[in-house]
Amino acid sequence: MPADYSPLWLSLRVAGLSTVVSLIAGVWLGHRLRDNAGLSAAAALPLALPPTIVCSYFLFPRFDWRIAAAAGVVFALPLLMRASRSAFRHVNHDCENAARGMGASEWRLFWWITLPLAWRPIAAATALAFARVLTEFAATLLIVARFSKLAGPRP
Amino acid sequence: MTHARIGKKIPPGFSLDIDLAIPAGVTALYGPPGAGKTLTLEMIAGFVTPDSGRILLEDAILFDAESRVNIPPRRRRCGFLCQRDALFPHMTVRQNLVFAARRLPRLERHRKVAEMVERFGLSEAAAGRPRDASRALKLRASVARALIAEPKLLLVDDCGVDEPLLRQIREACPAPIVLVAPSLDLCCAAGELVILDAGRVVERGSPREVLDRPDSVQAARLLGIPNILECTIAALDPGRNTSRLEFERFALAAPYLPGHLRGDRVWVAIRAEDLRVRAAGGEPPVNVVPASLVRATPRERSVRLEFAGPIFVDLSQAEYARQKDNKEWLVEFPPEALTVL
Repeated sequence: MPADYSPLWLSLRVAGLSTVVSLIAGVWLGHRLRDNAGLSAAAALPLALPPTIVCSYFLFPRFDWRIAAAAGVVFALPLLMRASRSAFRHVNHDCENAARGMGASEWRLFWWITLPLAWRPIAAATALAFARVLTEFAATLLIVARFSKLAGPRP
Repeated sequence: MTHARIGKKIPPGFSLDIDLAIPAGVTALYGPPGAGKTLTLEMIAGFVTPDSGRILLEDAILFDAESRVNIPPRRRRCGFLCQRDALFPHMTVRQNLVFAARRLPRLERHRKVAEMVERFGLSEAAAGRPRDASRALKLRASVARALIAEPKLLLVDDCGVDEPLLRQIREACPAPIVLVAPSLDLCCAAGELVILDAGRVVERGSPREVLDRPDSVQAARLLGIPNILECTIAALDPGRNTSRLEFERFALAAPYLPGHLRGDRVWVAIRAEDLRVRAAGGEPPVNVVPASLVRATPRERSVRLEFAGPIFVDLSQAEYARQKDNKEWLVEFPPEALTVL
């Protein structure tokens, strides 16, 4: 019997897209909220929700793998946002101030100084977020199985 | 004109309120930890926003609380050397310098970087990361990086700059320099000395003037003068240019004190190195007080003797070796060493 790799590709596609989206949004949020403990705590709240509850919000009538990826973003984004915020907070402020004193704009400062100094913890959190979404079985069960042949006809 | 008049409250309990005119050349800030020296520099550089006041740099307004002008740090053109090493660790030393030269045209950029590498002796370290360089080299690289950006005002926090390096900075930087001086030796290299304590300017003037003639007890204490004694003016003789000061346990002759009256209570500061000691006996004593030695503490270049009272005297090590077997000690107060505050 030929092996069917389509579920693996589907999982990788879902996990890949949601990780990329969460990485961009998480780094942006982490940088914006680095001095705002209240908002960053609020943005981390989905971490406290049970996966089945989160997934139940994504039970649209038509299956699309991008919807599963959107559910993945809900899991991955808080992780990446928290990790980025913590990484940015630990960047040496003296380095950033020195760059500002030399006339660097905030944009240049971010790409040349802040991000290169903070990328390691962010990379580690990205790997963790990817693994979390890839292995998120509750989401798979609820969203994908609803439209899958294996799950039988819809009630 | 470069001038900073700034106020800032930091709860709980600290408030800074200073008025600092910054002339060309080096202005040294000296004071105990927590006096507000670094905060002052950070507010001038724009990293911390003052609550009130106005900062002018070459007559351009950088900050004005009333009209709510607050130019961002990147447009202030203030070079800042902070206490800790702030070279970008992910770049080589040369890349650090190139980053700072970004404002210059491309050709000029490389010429300027090469000139600074040469001037501050960085050619060997230029290709390596800052973490591989020695502390002294890192400091020189930080200085070179700050100067490449051609600041209009250079702010130097207590980062380990010594006198030869300060001289090098002055040669390379025509802008005024504000320096947090960790030691009085470095203050002497400045053109202007400002003594800060608890967020206020205690005294300012030329370093020689301030160090030799502090005009308040607080300034004398901050300058580390150990002998600060209270006394009463017992006699004043303008004809002979003398006066007589009565302390708790002894009396001394001093030069005439203009602007004081007999019976005034005044404070007198006497530097430990201006006092002399000798063994009892010999010539008749003038301004000499017998004292009993409590302890002798060796220091870097001298020995500090503490007498009961307490009176502190600094002797050279050779002089101490000659006198250490004295049975009874006499402390001599040269009249010119007495500074009335």
